[in-house]
Amino acid sequence: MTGGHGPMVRTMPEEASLVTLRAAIEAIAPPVAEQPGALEFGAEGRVVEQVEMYLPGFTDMLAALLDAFAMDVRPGTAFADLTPAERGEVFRLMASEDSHDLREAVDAVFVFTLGAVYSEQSAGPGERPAAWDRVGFDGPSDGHPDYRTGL
Amino acid sequence: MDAPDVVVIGAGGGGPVTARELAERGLKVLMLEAGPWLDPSTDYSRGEHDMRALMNGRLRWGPADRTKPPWIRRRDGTNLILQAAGVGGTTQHYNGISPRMFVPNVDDRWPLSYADLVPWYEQVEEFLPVTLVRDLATKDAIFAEGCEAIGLRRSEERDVAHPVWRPCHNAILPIADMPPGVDLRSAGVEGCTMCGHCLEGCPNPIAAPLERKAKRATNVTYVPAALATGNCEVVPNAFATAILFESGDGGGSGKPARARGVRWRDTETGESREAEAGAVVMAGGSIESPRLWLNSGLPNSHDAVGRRLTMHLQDIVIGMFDREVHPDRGQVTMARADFPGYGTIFAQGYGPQSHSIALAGAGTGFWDRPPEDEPWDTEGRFWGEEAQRRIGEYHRSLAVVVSTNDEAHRDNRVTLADDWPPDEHGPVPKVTYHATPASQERQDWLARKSVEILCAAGVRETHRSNFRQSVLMTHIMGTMRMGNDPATSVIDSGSEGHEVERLFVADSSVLPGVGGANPTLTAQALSARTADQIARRYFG
Repeated sequence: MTGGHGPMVRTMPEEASLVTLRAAIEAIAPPVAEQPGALEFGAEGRVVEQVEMYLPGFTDMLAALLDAFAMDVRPGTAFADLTPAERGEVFRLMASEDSHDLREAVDAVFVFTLGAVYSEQSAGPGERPAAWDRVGFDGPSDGHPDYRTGL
Repeated sequence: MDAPDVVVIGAGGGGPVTARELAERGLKVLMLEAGPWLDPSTDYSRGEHDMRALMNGRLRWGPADRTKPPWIRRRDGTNLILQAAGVGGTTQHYNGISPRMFVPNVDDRWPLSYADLVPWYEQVEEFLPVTLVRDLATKDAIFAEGCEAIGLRRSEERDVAHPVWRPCHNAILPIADMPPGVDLRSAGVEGCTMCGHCLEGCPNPIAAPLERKAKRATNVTYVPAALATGNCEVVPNAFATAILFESGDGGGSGKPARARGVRWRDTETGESREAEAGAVVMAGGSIESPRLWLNSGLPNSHDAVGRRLTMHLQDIVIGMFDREVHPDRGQVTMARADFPGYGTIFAQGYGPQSHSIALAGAGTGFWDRPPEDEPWDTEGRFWGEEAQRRIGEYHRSLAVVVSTNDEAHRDNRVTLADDWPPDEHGPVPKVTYHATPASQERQDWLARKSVEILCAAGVRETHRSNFRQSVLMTHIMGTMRMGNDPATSVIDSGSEGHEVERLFVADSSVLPGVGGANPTLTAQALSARTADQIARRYFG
């Protein structure tokens, strides 16, 4: 995804939109044994930053789309009030539409959420991200003399 | 630089090659680059997000000021476009693998023969250098085991016409001598330290001078060499906005236009500047070169500019093993399997961010709806606890990239997005790509072959990302196609415009198809040849 629709005008998403976005982030990357979920990593702020740089105002737009499709999963229910499994159904519905823009909207929230968990931005300066221990990543390296380990 | 002989637009994979070759001949060369000029020693942090975030990573397609948004493209059928701005261009984040194109893809399809290209390949391979890897990291050795188990012959040849597996020919220095206890930051370390950061920009060896950084991106090879001649000036943060030209056949060539210079915008100050020159070389890549041509109002009588975009219809198959694979160790790609006619597949090391996105972030299909009649266990998007569990197997995972010999369809193209507002550099490009059925079949075939190799290597489970609709663009080619027929090509066999005298193209946009092999070396070989053509035609 290489950008949106024009010069960037910084906007603040609506608080209701942030509630919806948090629910999406939680559904994509929840806590698992030994590792906090994306929200506990502080992913929300980083996802909003990337989404708003992609297209100013897109957080609100994304939240509206999630709420609209939530109606197809459980009528009368906002996305944030769905169960995690139901939120997954919303992702399915959106990604299955014959619409490049809808698929890209799903791509955006997934890609930015996962990046917020598994890259160095999930930790503070000089800190090692907790996710790296769980996935077995050594981190930035000067080199690996042991590049044939296990052979 | 006053009164350059040649202006080169773009300091990525091809532009610096042309610039250096011309500067070596004594010509004055002005090279413009839209992005910043980073210092590998101080600016390459090795962080996946810091370096490669699509919106504000250091190697993004965007201005130097990362508080500003990236430069935009309208897209139809494609999602992720991986392209880097800056001196070195996309060679800053590429994995350095430098195969020659497949022999069958040249003969009868190009206006040159494969034999014509070989001397230019050899020239670039010697200069960079391009080196056959002499050892394999764990991930690549596992891939090689699978290849051999299914009967693929090992080859070390550079010229490929039949299915083989190969240790890679990489534009990366030989593996460093790293005895136990070695201080990798000491001045005595030379060569590749197998750090696994090829895709984040190579800063290693830490103590090595610029020209001895292990990955041979053009900002550590051709750019310094061009500068060393004393005949080349590089201007970063300079976004070309127009080719200056004269109409009419003033030069007697019979062509309707003649290039005379370039106008560019300083991305930091907004100031516009111009330079006139005896020849202009477009090397901004397969999206920006046609955009610039169209925005300049250059002749395009046959509507050939921007057409026949190919991009190797990439996909990723991930194998999860019950043994340690260490995808973060070694050069990102050290082993490959080539299947002329279909394309190529290669082992790929990723950091955890890239791995998580490849496994879960995009793709067609959903993890809990296994495909029928396909050999992979899952495909498409993952989320929830299941996604986190799978991503947690990163250290036991091997990613195989599929690079397809996709068909060049005339309606896959770059045009101007007349339904979007222009940006500060003019009308923005619209990138349209829809895979043909034949291209899709070849991609599927390569994905099945990837699974076959992984299974033969002992994999427990396989997942196909299936970028069928969320199309990933990396090897972007063909939009300023070289050919003999102006109706279906933009430049002639000497890389000069059919309709514009003294305007040349020296990037991957000239390639009529390389068969799935990584295109950078071929683009560079042609760029070296283009310099020779420029010198012969106009500065002899």
